[in-house]
Amino acid sequence: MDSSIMPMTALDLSQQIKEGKFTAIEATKSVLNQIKAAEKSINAYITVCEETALNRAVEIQQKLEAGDKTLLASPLAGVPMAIKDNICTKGIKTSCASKILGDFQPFYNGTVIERLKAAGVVIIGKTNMDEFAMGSTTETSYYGETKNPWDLGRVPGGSSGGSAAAVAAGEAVCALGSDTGGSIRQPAAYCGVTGLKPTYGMVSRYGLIAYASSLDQIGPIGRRVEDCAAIMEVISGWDELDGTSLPDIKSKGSFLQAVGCKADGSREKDFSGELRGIRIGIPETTLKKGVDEDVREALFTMAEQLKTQGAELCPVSMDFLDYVLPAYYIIAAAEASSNLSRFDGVRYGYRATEYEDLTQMYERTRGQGFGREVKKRILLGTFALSAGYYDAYYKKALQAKAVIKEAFDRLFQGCDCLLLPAAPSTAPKLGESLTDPLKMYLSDIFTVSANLAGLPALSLPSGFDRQGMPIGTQIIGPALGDRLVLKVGHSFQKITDYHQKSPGIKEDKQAQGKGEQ
Amino acid sequence: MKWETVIGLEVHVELNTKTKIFCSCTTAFGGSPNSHCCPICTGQPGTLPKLNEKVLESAVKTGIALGCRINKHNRFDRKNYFYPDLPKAYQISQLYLPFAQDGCVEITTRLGKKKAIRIHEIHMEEDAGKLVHSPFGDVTYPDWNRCGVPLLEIVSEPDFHSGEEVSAYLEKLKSVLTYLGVSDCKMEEGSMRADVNLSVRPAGTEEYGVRTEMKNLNSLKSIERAIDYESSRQIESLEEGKAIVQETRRWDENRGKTYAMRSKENAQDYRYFPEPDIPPISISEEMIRELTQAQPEMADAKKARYMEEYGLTETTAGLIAESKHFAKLYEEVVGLGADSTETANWLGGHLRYLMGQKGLTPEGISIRAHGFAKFIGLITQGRLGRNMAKGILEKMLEAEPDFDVEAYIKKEGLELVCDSTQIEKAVAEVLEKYEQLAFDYLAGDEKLYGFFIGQCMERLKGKANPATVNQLVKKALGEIEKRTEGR
Amino acid sequence: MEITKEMVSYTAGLSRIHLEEEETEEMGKALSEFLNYVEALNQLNTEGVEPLAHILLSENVMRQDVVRQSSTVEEIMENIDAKEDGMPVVPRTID
Repeated sequence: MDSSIMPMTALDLSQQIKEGKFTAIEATKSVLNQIKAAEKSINAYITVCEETALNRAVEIQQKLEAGDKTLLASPLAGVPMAIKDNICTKGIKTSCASKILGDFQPFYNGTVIERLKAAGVVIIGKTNMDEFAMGSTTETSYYGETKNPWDLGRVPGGSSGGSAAAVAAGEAVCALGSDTGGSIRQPAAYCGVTGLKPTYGMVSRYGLIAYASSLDQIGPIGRRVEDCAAIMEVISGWDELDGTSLPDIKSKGSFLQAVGCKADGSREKDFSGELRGIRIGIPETTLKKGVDEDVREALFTMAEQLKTQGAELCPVSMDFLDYVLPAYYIIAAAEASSNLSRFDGVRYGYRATEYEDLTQMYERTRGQGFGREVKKRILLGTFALSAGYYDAYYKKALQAKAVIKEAFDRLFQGCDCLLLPAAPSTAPKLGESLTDPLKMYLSDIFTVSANLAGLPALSLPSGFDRQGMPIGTQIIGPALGDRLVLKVGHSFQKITDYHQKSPGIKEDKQAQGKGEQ
Repeated sequence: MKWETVIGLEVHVELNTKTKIFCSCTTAFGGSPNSHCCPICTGQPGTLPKLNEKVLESAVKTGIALGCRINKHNRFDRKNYFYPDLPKAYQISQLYLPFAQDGCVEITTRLGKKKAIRIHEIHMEEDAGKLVHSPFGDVTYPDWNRCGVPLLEIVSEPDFHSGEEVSAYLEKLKSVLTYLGVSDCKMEEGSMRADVNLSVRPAGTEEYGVRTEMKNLNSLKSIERAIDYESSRQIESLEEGKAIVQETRRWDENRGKTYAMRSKENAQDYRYFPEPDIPPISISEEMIRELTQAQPEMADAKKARYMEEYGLTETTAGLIAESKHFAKLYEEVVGLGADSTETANWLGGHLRYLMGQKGLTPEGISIRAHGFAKFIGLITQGRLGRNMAKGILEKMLEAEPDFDVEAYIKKEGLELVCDSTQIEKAVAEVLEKYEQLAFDYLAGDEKLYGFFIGQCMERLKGKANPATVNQLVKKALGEIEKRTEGR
Repeated sequence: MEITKEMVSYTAGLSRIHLEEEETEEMGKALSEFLNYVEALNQLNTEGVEPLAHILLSENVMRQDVVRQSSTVEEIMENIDAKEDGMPVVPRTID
């Protein structure tokens, strides 16, 4: 990639395009070149839309040169962006990394896509993922695994592994992912980038191919918090097509304001990132077992660094963590079993070639079209909802969800946000998780509770382990606290440089933690 | 042994909202296959449902009108099953928290028997599409236009004992729903459909027998026939010592029989769970109050008012009030000054008879208030004889709504001569010619009266108002009597 | 909980998923393993706790009854291979 664009954030890139220092076409070409160089080893994309992306870049450039007011006011004008392949893009193959969707091309756009287009974003391609977002490694993709740019022998995390890896490898400036149980935050952590799972309802799900409707949220992945804020600025807000989207509570520019920027993405001059008066919860006891030492240390170091910005630290207890995974997996599997029923070979995608009757057509299409992990979760979900088991499993899980939500409500009476690892360890080696699925499930232990309770959670780079793999830590806030977690995260990035490291330019770990700007 | 049939009904009614329940596609009937569809109602990946507020309003109105308790907390649930007419492979319905429960309606059977039918619950749900079967091969073509048309499912308690009661109940539902203006309830277009759950038990016992469910019943006639057939079939089986199998049976209209549908594997495990895509619905006291106050005058209230205000008989008042369109026509006609009793007798009498003959529904007739008021006026003014009027009415039913009945009878020369001098002249001529017979009549031969009338009518070529002729003949005979007495 | 082969087959049937012989066995194992794992939930006292289906605070989210242009038949049929005259083709349904 063009070395002048490579380390640039989306915000900076867009500012420079608007100022005429680069063209949108140059930016797109540069990213396409990086894709050509890196894709063979990373496999971050299922579909790269070279031609449409270039055409689009030309169109945006022309509009900018003509003084188009909307684009000049957009923080993301001209920015090449990658989209997870479970978000519907009109006329562009949308596969969920599954055989069953075949070459499905939606004839409609997801709401987030419409909004990104209106903001002058260039969609560069569709990223790889775990099939139907079911997995934590991007290894269950029908289109082959994505590799971690930091170590090609390791997984990028999942399910938004393609999006996180693309951003980390410079194959996209920023990306959209989706997060049902950690699918944005955990791969962001494994790949050393920043990702936000917004409050449930903050971003429209219209056009997001559902895994678990009550838990799914679309969110941004970028090189730094500011980019996530800019993407939120564009994609969030009430949508008439999604009954679960929240009534508008943002005023224009409010996400960007939280990270010291104006609505058009330019920076406020005297933004300090000070955190005085903000109480940050640290669940010390929770971190005593089942967490790698390096991961734990990174979190404590981060807490101390936030303290230097004026934040107050307070111990919190999360004794409900034992229940989050069972509750999560039951709810997710149950909803998935219903959501994935529509893939029946009638309206789109794959249909088995040999069958004698309707039932056989359904059974063979779905038997052949879904991968193992997906079939397993559909069966689990079907079982949990079937006659005689509903109360024991599904109802019980919804009750646990109520308990967990209440526990969070209590917790946030004592603090404004809390820190939690994004995952108990850094990225595992390829193939490791497939042999032990329960261990793979366990890697979601720190992320799923934010989905169950509908909370905003930001994952950002907070260090490297002894093997040099990036560590991510989450900042979790109360419902609608998206701005707060962005603010805290941005404040942290102002005094650290973990987020500035990239796989190619990794430096001595001892040098971490120095300020920037 | 004497047997008793026990029947419960699940009635599906399509609401007549402009758009579907969860998307903005039209609900218009017909349309070429798959032309009233969008990503949402065809279950395209990533799409989401959004409830139509009018559906909730219509639903609550119906719940109130059927005497139900309206549940303040509501939710939708998913009913999961695979079928090509159901694109999402789940139907959004209400299982755990239906919006209305514990209602009651009073029915009156054809024999005049009154009975209360309890309503177990009413819930909102979406309709499925239609399946078109290839006439040659082994394939089916799904048409999803109907997918997502809003439905109310009205579930009764097993309170019926005969097909006649079931018919009366369905007529009643149709009356209530059309008065509310929430549904057309056209069985022939499938906007009202009934599934019949039927069992039999020895008369006088409490325990229910094993029931069967009958689907695909699309007219009152076939429902009654199916019920008669199915109860006989069950009774015969039990008397032969065979057990009844709990199953779904299909009514074959042509053969007049029900037969067991091939049971679909696992068909009963619908795996209901709360629909995550639709937030809970709460119905406020205020909404219930407002919709209660806004309830229109229904058939029963209208009937009572017609009896009180216009002095109609219970039967006639009931026949008119049952249909919203009929009642509206009646009130408009009377409002235009037509005689209320005369109008009622024609509406509830010959017009209904003709409609029955022609298979017309009140909403399907072309007669408008203005034309009908004129028609009644011609009769009460004595310008149109009642026998003649029957034919004219039939003519009106076949004509365009702007049919001018007055011009028509004038043009066809059907108007009665009501000029009394003409009639008086004819009467005088007849009595003069048959003077001796007039004396005979006055002497007590009453049979001759009809002869005089006949003679007068003949002279008037049948175009005289019989009542006037009658009156004038009587008057003239009276005068002759006076004269003879004076002699 | 012990998951029998019949239970797996029943569940697969409900899900309309054809499983090969060895898959049935594998899925049975995975199901048992999973169900044992989620047993942990039983330690949580949920007596009197109302199941929480919707995390949202919002209620009564509805749209107005206004017709919008539907998609074209071509769009609806775009991703379907087996179709005739604006309708998809499926194996004949029974009833």
